[in-house]
Amino acid sequence: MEQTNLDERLKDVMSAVFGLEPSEITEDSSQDNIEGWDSVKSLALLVSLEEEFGVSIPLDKVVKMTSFKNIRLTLEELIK
Amino acid sequence: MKYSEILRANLKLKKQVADQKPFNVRILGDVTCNVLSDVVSYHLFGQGVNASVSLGNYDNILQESFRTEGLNAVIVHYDLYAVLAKSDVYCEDLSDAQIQDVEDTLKGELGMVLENLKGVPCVIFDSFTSAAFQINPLRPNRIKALARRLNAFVEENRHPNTTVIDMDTVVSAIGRDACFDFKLYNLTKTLYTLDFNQEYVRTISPLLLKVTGHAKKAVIFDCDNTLWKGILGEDGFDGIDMSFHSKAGSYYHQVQQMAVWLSKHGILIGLCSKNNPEDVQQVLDSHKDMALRNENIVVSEVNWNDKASNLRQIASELNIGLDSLVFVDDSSFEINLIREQIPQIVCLQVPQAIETYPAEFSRMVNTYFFISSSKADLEKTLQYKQQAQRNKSRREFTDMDSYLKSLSIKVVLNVDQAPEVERVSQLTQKTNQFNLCTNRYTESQIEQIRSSGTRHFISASVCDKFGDSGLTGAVIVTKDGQTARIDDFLMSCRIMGRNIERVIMDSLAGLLKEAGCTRIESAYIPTQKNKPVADFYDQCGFKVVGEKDGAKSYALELEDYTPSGITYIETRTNK
Repeated sequence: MEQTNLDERLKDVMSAVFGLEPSEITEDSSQDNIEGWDSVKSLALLVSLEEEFGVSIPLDKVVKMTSFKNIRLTLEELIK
Repeated sequence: MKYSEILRANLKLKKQVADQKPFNVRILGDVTCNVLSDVVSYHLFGQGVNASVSLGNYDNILQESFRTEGLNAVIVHYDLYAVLAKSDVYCEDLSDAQIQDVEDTLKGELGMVLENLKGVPCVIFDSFTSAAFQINPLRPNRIKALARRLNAFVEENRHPNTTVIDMDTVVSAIGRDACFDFKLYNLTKTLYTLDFNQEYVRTISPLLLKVTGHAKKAVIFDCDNTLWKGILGEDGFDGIDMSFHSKAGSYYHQVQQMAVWLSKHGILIGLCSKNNPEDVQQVLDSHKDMALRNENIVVSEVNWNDKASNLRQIASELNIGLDSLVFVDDSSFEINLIREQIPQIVCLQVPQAIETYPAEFSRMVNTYFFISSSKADLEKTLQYKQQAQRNKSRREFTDMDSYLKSLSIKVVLNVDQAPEVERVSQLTQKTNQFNLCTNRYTESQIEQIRSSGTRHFISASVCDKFGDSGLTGAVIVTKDGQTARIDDFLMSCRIMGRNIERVIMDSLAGLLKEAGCTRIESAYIPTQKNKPVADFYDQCGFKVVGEKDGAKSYALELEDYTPSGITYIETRTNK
């Protein structure tokens, strides 16, 4: 999968979950700078990502899904 | 639909319904129900309901059941998987005493919860299921048996406001493996998948739509390639196929059979087709393969006009809102036209894979219609037909008064009659247009009014020379010394436009005078649908004494009341 395509889709999902515009999600987005990224949003993010990318994210990866970069890394490993 | 799409849509839809009366739903569960709450919101927003869905504290069902104020609906979900996960013994290895202990504890809790929730207009109670456990069908299973005993207990102890949802049926609709997400359960105590929640919400949808007054009322069918295979104008009377015995025709026949069944359960069936009306009439009259006949069809717009105009015409003939219609057609052109022009109409396009047509039709019915078994609903098809005849006969009269005189309308008013509690409650839940305050009452609330001594309900039953419309009007009043307050004044749209409301007010004024009242107070609270009656109290001579955000409060000194002077409606009052 092409990088830009994956980035776009990830931004799209994240923005939907956090109620933002896709342009408001950047490479540096993380739990530290997105308001309201709590356990409920983490749950919504997990459900949405697995659905969007057709993958099952293993337990040990789920707990590390705290930033755009980490999530992208996980997805790249699962998709390739 | 994807979860991210639901979340995004919810933000937008919420704004569109913000001016509607809020509808408060609370979900109480011993598993995490956040996904469910998003799916419920999405479904209700889409139906024009300003839903506010909240979650009770996780695994605090009993504690939360004490806090029901302001709630319109409550969903209760006890999960045996969550209950037994608290024990560190493998479920098959639990001793009889341990199972008994779980059962006794749950029954104690259930009894209190059901009792605490009895005042909520709509309670949806998920049945206990053992579906999340790996069960070997070769052996009798104790978890399954436990679920059965608990369900029997709920059935025995539930109040009439509580509907039990058979979870095993919902699970089997999408398959066990698609229902449960054990990873999410491990992480967040969310046991059910998005797919399950969507199926579940479709299942409970009619209950929520009924209690919000948004249940659909009519199915309008196209004819060619919708009620039969083929095009009547081209293939001819003998060329169309809806035979129960033919391969292709049988699917259309099955859908017709379902439509016949719906027509017997208070759902209105209509036709909207581009055809020569006499050709379609001939098929209805005499084609041997039809299941649907004239007697099942209340309204028919068969002509060459565009279908959006025809559907508007149908809604106005039946005197129901456009959002009460479902439209079935095979043509994507027609379906898209309606979706574009009248988005509040739910459309079903006849599927390409015709073998799925009966199942898709049935799924649509199960999502949007509340199928009642009450006697009043069963007679509705006939009444709407009579209404259509009245509309036709109306065209023959040039002035309204002489038309109304010709109808020989009779109105019977009853005060606080026990057998009418169910119907009066139903009327308050369904009536949108002629409804001055739009309060919804459950049966038990009407029953409380009946036995209160200070509050009363007055029903109005109407008939005329075309037939009996049944109990179609209701007034709820509260007496406080010499002042009477009209809490609610409502009438079915079936009897609107005949000045019946004026003679009801005449009789009401008489009744209140006899009861020693000197003053009546009342109010009009606007909704999207009740604008036609915004001036009703003004017309009856009430004075506006307060106004806020379009809501008006009124008062009238009884000695100032001027009767309507209508003599062509015969009224009788039974106290």
